[in-house]
Amino acid sequence: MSAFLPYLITWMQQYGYPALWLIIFVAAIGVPLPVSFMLLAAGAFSALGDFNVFLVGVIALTASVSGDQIGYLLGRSIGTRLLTWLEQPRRFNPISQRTLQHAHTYFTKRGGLAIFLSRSVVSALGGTINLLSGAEVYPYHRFLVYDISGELCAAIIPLALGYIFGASWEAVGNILGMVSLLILSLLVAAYLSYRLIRMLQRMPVTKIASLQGEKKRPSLRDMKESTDSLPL
Amino acid sequence: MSLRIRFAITLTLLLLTLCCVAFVARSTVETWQQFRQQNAWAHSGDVRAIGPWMTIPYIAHTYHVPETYLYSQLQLPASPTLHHTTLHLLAMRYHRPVAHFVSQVQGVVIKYRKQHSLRLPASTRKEPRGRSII
Repeated sequence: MSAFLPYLITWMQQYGYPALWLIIFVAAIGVPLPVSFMLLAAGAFSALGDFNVFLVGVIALTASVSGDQIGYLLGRSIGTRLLTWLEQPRRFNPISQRTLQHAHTYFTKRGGLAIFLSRSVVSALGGTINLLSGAEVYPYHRFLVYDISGELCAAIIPLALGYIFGASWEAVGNILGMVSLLILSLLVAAYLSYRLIRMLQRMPVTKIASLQGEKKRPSLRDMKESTDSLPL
Repeated sequence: MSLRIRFAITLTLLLLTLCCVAFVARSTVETWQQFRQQNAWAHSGDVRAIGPWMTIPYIAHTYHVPETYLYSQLQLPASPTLHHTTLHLLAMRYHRPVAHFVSQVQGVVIKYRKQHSLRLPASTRKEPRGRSII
């Protein structure tokens, strides 16, 4: 658990809803703050009547969506310039144009899912995905729809759990964190398995093609030698 | 990069990820057990569930101890500013170690229960420590 959490909870207790809004807003921009734990604590305090659970829900949603818009706008203003700079041909390119194009196509196709999951399941990636969405000029209205639906899940689940389990909210928060990590690692494992299967399917065909290529196609070295030997 | 090398790298990454999955799954089970224990404590009114994030009114409400009694026993002024202050911050403000302060609060709750012979609900009193009731 974060070392900031006791201080954040005290601020939330002392300054109420404005403090909660500000903390969630700053976290949504990309500052790593334990927002899920804050919402669990807010839910637990709401159960005793310190806060209104519905108002906390509205505050969490508006603050996180507003913070995400800042991230998106930052990505759109700075990130696009960075991508343009990366796409320019130069002697040494850290990322190839092909890779950038591939990433752009992939994000246009699957960006919605990434936006939703980075809010609801792997919230640590939320700030990065906001910047990336802006940089890739992902359609704003689509970004907003996925963002609101993801943040709605991200606000309701911890608030409800905090409200239900009260004093055990810390343990609930730890479980949420571990489950999130488990889902992330399972997704990575599933993706790598898929890649491996694809490679296995392609392997015999490629092998045959490469063998044929060795017989028929001349190598680059041979071609260079033949062009060098040509009379000028 | 040849397909064979890419295959070997992907396979290695998959094995590493599967190791991570096993480790995280084990940690998740441990966290689940901790949750069950803490939830059982919270439901049975066990003072071990008192944490540094709690405020004095929260403890007073959850453990059925008067706020004024807690303030007086902890030698704290019952001012409105302390009403929303967590135990963690109270300990820091009065230069006491957090763990020691929390155990002091636990002691005060136990003392109050002994003085007033508070009866816990029968269903939770018989529940063995560490077992969930959900």
